[in-house]
Amino acid sequence: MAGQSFDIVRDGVLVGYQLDRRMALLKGFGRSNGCAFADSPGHMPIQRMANVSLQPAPDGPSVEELISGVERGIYIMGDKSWSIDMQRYNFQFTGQRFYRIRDGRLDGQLRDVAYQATTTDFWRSMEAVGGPETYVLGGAFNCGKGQPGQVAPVSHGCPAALFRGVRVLNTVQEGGN
Amino acid sequence: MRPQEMVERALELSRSDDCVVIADETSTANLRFAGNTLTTNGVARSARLTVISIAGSGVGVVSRAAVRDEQIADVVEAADAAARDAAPAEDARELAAGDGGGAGWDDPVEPTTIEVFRGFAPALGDAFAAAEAGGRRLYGFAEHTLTTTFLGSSRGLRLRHDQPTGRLELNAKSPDMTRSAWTGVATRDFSDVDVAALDARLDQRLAWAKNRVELPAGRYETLLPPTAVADLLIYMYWSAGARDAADGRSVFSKPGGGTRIGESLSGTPLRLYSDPAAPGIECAPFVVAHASSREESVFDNGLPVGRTEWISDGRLAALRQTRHSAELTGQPFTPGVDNLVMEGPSGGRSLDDMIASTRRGLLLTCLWYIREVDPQTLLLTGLTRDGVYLVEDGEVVGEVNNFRFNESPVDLLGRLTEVGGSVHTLPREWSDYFTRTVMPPIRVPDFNMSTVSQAS
Repeated sequence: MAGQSFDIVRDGVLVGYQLDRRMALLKGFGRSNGCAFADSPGHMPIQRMANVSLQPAPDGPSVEELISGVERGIYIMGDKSWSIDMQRYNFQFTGQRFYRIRDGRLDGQLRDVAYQATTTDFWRSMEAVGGPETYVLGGAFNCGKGQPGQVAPVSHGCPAALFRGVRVLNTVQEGGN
Repeated sequence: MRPQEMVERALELSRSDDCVVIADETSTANLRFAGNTLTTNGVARSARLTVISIAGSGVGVVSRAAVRDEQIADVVEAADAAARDAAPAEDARELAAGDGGGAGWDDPVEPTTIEVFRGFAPALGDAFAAAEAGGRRLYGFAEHTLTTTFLGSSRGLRLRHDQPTGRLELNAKSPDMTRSAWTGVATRDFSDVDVAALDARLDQRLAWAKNRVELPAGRYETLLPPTAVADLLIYMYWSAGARDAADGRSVFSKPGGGTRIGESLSGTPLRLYSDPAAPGIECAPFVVAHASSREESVFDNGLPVGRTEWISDGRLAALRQTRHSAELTGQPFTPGVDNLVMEGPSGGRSLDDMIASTRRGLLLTCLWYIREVDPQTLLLTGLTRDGVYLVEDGEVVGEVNNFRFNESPVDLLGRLTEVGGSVHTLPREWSDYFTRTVMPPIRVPDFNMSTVSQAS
């Protein structure tokens, strides 16, 4: 099955799914969009995530312009710990560096930060998407799926983005200290 | 060429000062089932040849799958070249010496086959019939793997280890798919798996789930079953490298320098240990290191591995060491072992008895998607799955919503108020990597359920 480019969300509306041929047939989606592969010749192909990215806004703001619109917030760089429930509702992530935003400017580095949300609430809270110069291609080498377990690399591109009202945790307090 | 012959051939071909060769032969058989019927089964075999060349104190490692006879020279040449180009390895030490063919070295590899399920599969079929009659649906996966490892060296080592690994994961769901329960077992050969008993336990849990109770996030008295304890302590064990501790990188680092070995972690006189000869969870009695890392060294290959107490009477007694890190920390050489046992004081109660003595608390089924939040405290996050139950006055009164937790297993050892009797268990989260555990249920008075998960 040839790989292809397709939208999952367009103009804020859910318009597509990751599909293999079986699910496309069962659910009446026409044809597969090629989201199935095996991690080695010793395993069966399974339906799993292809490279999923958030597109930048063509004339979108820079990181500095996004920060300038925040009175009180946190600027998170990179990703670190990630965990999400089996139906992909509740997640908790950390980052690699955190900065306090006050009155539209960075104001010192923070530590012990994590953030939690329900997936759909989180994406609904997205207020702005950065421009192409903020876009970074990231990913992981060790995305695990299936039984017997299959491990494969995945790539995800993303611009800087601004989210409002996200629940932030102090991980020291979470640990009871 | 047999794997033993591949090892000998690779050792002959190496032009390095020293060489270690590891040949792994793996066979696996599996059954998958859904909705009270078998859906797929499979068998597979694979082989990997790892050549570790040593030139002076430089080391080069090349590891390839499915190496054909005529390709052995390529692998050895690549490893020799890498060793010549390598900077001195800080973990370089004298290799272990041997005197040729160890026990079973020349015996043929006996792969596992689908026949391993000869007794289990009919019992599973009976469980399908019982489940169908009882109005529940069974889903799951059974897998048996046999890995035979041949380890040879230019210093005369010829060691062999046959490692069987089996697991069964079993889910039961109500016909409307609104209730779900899970159980799992680790086994060496499936002869000891009582599917009917497992199914009966799932039936009980689905019955518990008929009454639904919504609870908010918060700290609750919580009973963690052995599988959940195993998942938390395996992560702690993986994080118990002496090198990281000595370098100030882990929860086992002493503030100001050094490790926390000797420090009390729990007021309960519990013991955490590994033992290659522990009944039912036997594993390799010698070091098998395919590559060096902060917790293992290729130079330690073949050295004997014995019973090691990591925590004794609640006190941190040892960390995972290479010979190099043992010298750095001034501690004995205590390499990692592929099993883990936790025991509390003798006379620990069963989980059922612990439920019966609970005034109000949560009973978990298992944990899911566990990830490290903070290495310095070993704060972990993850979720409950397939059944959180509310216990009141010694009885389960209903099923509660799922939660995300934030907890450190090291903190839990210090806060737990009861350690039950230890049993063989399958850690659900890490069962792809670590299955050989004997763990107790524990009671924690204030387990941190950080937020509610909508997942059901």
